[in-house]
Amino acid sequence: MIRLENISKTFDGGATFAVRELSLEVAPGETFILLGSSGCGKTTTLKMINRLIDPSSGRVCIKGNDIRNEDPVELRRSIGYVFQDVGLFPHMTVEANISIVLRLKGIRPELRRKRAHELLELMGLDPDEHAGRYPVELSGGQQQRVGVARALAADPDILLMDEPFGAVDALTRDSLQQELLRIRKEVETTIVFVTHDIFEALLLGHRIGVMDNGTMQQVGSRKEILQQPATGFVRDLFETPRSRMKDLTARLDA
Amino acid sequence: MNEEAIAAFIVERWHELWQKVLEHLTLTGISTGIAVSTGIPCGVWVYRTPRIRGTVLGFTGVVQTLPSLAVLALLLPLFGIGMKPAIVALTLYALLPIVRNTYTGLTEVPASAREAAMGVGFTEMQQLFMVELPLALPFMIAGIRTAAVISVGIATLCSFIGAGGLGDFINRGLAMNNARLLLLGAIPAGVLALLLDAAIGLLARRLSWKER
Repeated sequence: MIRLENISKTFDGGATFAVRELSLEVAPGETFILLGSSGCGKTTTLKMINRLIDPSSGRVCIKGNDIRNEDPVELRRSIGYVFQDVGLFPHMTVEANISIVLRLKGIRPELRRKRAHELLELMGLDPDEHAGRYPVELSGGQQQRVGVARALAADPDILLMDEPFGAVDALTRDSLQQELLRIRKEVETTIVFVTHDIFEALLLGHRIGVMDNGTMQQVGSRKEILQQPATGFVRDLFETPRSRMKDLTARLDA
Repeated sequence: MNEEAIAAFIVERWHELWQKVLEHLTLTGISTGIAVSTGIPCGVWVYRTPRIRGTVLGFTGVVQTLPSLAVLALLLPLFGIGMKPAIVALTLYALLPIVRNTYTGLTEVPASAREAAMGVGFTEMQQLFMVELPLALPFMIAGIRTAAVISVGIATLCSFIGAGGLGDFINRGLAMNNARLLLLGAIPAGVLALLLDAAIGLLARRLSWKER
């Protein structure tokens, strides 16, 4: 579905690399997690999939086609994108926000409306109550639901999610994650999901790619990564929550 | 001076007063109109071209600091007397608030909205007209409001170069040492400024997404 071939990205002419010689293949229908701490290049990698950033070298193919040959605007309209800071348009209603891509594509208003209401329902928001509201009138969790609905509006084959649940509280994050697991069964789409949250990665990912310092450390299923860490970094990363749990239990017992 | 005398004075001058108000509104309206239709594109241009930002904003700023009487005098040899030089001068003064506020409004567009517009596949023009300008609108209207009010004030001075307007009463009143005549120009000019300010304020509230 998505293939990254040996891609590198430098923003300063080669002195430092945000992403270095990274290759990756994501299968259709799969949820692939890019996991790493901030500044490791995971968001840059994600943005190279819909040409928000073009790689300095290497190539990205979607369904076998090199995306450099595609019009970036058309490409982005065919790929859903969920942003960390949601990025709803504050001057548009929830309904207008969700159906914006359909509007850009020239779909008729009645069909846009129908689709927006459908998606609100899918996201567990009552269309009659929420469609006419403005983003400021929604809670953080509701805003991100609308953000996901907007990304799904044009029925994309691919959904890119950039730390989508990073800015909401733990309880809301938990329910949004459950929601995503449910939705994933209803809409068949390939998801590339960026996060720094290990638990989120283990919960949602069919496969996980661990990144550090612009390079891919390991790609594998949860089991593979947990049981056979390829590098010291991966082992330490997954060791951290375990040792913190131990530490916490020890303190509680004392 | 008793009240009846004042009433009689106004009734007597009513026709002329109305004519001067219309002249005044014409001066203000045309110049603000030109300033809006050139200033907004100019503000967008300044926003999108960092290279020219300093020069353009600097120029409009410098114009603003020139004393209006001096500007009118300087425009005389170029445009003669009458409405034409007056409109040129008023337009120059109205440009600064409009250009600057359009520019400021565009810089205040949340980065998240801009990034989202890129990410979901707006073309550059769609991004400008569907996201950036609507979000900058409250700022732009505030600039137009300032421009219009400044124009009403400076238009009273345009009487000196034969452009007409309420300044005619003020000038004549000053020349003849006639306070009634002077106030017949000054008070309506003040009222006009307040009314325009209120009207545009109302419009701003109707159009602004922030108020909803």
